[in-house]
Amino acid sequence: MSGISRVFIANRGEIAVRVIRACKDLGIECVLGASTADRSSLAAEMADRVICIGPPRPSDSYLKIGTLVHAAKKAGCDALHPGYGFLSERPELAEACVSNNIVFIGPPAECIRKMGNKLLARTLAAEGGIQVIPGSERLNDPEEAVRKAQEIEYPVMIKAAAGGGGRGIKVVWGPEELREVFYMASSEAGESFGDDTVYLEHYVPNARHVEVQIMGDQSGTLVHVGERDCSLQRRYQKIIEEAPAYALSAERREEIRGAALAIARAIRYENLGTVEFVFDQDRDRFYFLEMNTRIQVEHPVTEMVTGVDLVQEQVRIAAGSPLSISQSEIRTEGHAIECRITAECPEQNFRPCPGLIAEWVPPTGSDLRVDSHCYSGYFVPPFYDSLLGKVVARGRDRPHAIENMARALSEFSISGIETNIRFLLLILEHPDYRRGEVNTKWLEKMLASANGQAEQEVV
Amino acid sequence: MNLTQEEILLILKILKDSEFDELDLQVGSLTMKARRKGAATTSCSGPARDESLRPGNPSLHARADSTRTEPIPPRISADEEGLLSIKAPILGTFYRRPSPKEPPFVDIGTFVNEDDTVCLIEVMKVFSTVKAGISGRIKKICVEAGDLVEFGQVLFLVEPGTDRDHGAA
Repeated sequence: MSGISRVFIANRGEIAVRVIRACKDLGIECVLGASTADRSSLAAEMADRVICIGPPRPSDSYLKIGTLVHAAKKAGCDALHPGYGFLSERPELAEACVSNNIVFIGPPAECIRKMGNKLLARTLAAEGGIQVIPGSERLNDPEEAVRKAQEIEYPVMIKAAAGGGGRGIKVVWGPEELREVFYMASSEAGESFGDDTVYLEHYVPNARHVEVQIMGDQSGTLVHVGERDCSLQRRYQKIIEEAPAYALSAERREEIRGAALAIARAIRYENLGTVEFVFDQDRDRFYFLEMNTRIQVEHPVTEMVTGVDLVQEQVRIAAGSPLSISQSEIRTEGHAIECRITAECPEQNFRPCPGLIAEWVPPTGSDLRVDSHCYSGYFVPPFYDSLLGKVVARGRDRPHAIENMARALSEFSISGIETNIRFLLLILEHPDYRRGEVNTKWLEKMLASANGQAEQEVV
Repeated sequence: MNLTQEEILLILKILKDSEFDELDLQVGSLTMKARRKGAATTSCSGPARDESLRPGNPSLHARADSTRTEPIPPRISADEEGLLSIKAPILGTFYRRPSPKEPPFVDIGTFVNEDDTVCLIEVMKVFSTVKAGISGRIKKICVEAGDLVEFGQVLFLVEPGTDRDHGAA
């Protein structure tokens, strides 16, 4: 590949393996930055060189911009891939790379910065004519909140401005309730996030999470690579993702793709990105949620139905090459589902279960892909997230994809540690899931009823 | 979660086939400690490992090499000849001199005290001093100036001793 000959991988786990594979296919060398806990990981075995960047704690290794860029430079790398999580959406890393003559495999720092600020991203989307979830600015008192809520329409969410990851959110269904909870929400926000600013947002009770994969090269060509439905979530963490987003009408599908491209165009987006939307199933309309400026965990479902290698494309774009495929050549065939396999014990409230994997025998078969960094004898370190890998199954339509996935998961043999596989199978067998009648709250409601809790506890 | 007898036997087999001498494993409430017969304790200083904070020891790995990959490794460890090593506390570029025109902090044969600076490590133009952490005589310098050193890489081998053993530095 012209322009890039050696990539530094500033990540770990399955995504490090994924990036190494893409680089090998492109004939590019890989240097892996690994913490002491990951020195003998699968990615470390596959990489051409491994450099120990620090102790296991991410703040001492995978989150140290200076250390990573320094290592990349000294190892003669001309590019750096950030993976997802860790520093992947930190504009400072992109800038540090550029100022050291290292190509950052991702968008320019400016794009990351614009989309990283959620309020600014919202404003940019609104200016581009994209519907954003109706909401307020910061609120000073309960009466102001009640006035705003009238405009926004109930139910509304009262949110902490400094909150994140689904924390600091309360759903309110009427003015009395809003008056009651206002000060409580504000003081909780202050205690939890050090900032008591709260604002309102319209709450969509019957929502789907739909996201559009886009990519753009340095010459300004932008395409979408279809969309994904990631509505099955627990505590705002995606569990099962699918492509295409099967709940959209042809008309909405065209609109949502157009909206994603419009946002990307507005900020002159370059490289791979995902524009996330909330799709209101009751009103058949969608709202811009946010944009992720990195490769996503669930990218393989898109690859399975389109045949586009998104990670290779990402590296090519960063190297200055044009997109290898045009919009008219990108076609979706069949349906793909991804299940995230985690080292968690569902019976014990999803307690993480790191430890030694005695046996790891992934399923095989046609239209099946397993992305993972695990193997028999691998020790799952307790310092990082619990993702062990992803099973991605394709079928000619959604029912066939579900069958393929259910068979694959039942074949998956893992011993030594607990995993969520039984839980995933329960979802796949559920009639609601089979019919596709789900929303972003469905999984938590299903869990609550399985645990015999009142449904109202689940918001 | 409890371990079955089979799983315990498997863990012991993995330990046996590996190059590790010791195993401390905690699975839920179950704690397992195993030590190869005749194994010496490898680390002689550094912070005590706080196993209670961790569900498992990440250094346990069937395919791990013989280097111990401790989360907080002791900066100093002894080899077979009784020499201690001073290891890199961070990744960076190794420098032996405070500036190009000045003499090196230490040379082979230099006696160092615990608080003596032995080298600099630079990360993105930020220089950190590395202290010896042990007193003794420098026997070997394991890295060339300007090299990238990894976290935990051995920088110097030191023959331990006190001032009196060696005379003033």
